[in-house]
Amino acid sequence: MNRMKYVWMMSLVALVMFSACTEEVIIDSSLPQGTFSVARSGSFVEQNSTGSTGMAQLGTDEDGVQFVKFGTSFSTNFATGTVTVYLSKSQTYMADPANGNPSLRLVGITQKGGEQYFKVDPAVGSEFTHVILWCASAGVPFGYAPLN
Amino acid sequence: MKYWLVISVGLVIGTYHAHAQSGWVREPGHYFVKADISVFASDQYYNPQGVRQVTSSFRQQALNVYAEYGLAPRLAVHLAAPLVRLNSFETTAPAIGQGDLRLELKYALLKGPVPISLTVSPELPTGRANAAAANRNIPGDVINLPTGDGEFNLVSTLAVSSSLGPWYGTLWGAYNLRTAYRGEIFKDLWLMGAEVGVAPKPGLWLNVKLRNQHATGLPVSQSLGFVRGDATAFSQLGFGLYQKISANGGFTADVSAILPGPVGRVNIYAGPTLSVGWVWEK
Repeated sequence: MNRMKYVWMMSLVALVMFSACTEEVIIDSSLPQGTFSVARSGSFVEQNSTGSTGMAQLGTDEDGVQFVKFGTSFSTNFATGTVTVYLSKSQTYMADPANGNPSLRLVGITQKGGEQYFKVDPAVGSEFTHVILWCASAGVPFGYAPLN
Repeated sequence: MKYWLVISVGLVIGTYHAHAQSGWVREPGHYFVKADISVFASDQYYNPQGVRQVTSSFRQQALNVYAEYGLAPRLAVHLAAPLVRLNSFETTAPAIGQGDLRLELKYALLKGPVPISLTVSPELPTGRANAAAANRNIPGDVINLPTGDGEFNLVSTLAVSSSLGPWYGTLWGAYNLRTAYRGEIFKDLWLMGAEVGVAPKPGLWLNVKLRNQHATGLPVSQSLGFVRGDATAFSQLGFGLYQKISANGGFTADVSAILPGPVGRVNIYAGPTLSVGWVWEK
């Protein structure tokens, strides 16, 4: 009888240990880990009647990874499709593809309003002063946010 | 002979057509069919405030069929079918689809040397109301370039014509009663136009056309304005040629352009449209 109890107990322990071993912790590297610390931020200025509004922030997570964050009130015109998000050295989209677009860094594409993060890898320096919303297909600016 | 004056192609994202506005109505049992291809390209966009913006080049190619058939001494039926449209920017692959189908009933209010006609034209939302064109340079980036405006609308046209020797002329006015797309209401449109043509020699017709379009308000909806061509306003000048090759048909060539005025350019790409086509008629 004691032998049966022992087998059952050991089976239960093995089951618990096996479960613990196979449990996966999924880390979404596209999102900040831990606390997001804001370094610079600014509000969007609408361009071309696109209704762009809300707050953009540039900061890092607890691992030192840099992100651009849009606040919950972020919105723009998505009727035309997706909108590309750039970090820029000015409020104007200054393309220079022959030299690798040194004044721009594409950080992501958005198709919805509200809070969202865009990973900036590798991180940018203080020379990138604005977040730009850009309709890349038509080449039309939708708005910009100065990062102060 | 005056009936060959038919289609030019919609050249804005929100589609429109310039059909055979004239006082003449096709005789019973007679028909007219035209197939044409057209090309348009422009990077000059006039926004809802009428301010010019330089964008990536917008391009549209289309294959259209237009037909008229005389049903009765005063009544004809017309059909305009944009069979294929390719909309793109220079940065994207094309969005491909058919356009909005238009049926027309044309009635002769007055026959004789100065005929007057009334045409009622329902346009059905048979085109793709949403058509994503993928950016060639940025994976995942798309722009919506519909091949139809997604709404039912009704165009009523009153036209008066006359001819003198090899010359003819037409004046017309129309009201485009537009409805809504997903609950958002389009602005109605007023249209007015004039056309003068001449046959300098047998079998050859030349014409010049002026068309003005006014909206009943400014585009306010973001989802209708740029994407579906709401409240588009413009003046357009066109020149056409029809060379008969046989008793039953010939080829056509047309060119048109958006003018600076008299109607200010609102919510439209301004540029030239070229088209060539073939006509079968009896």
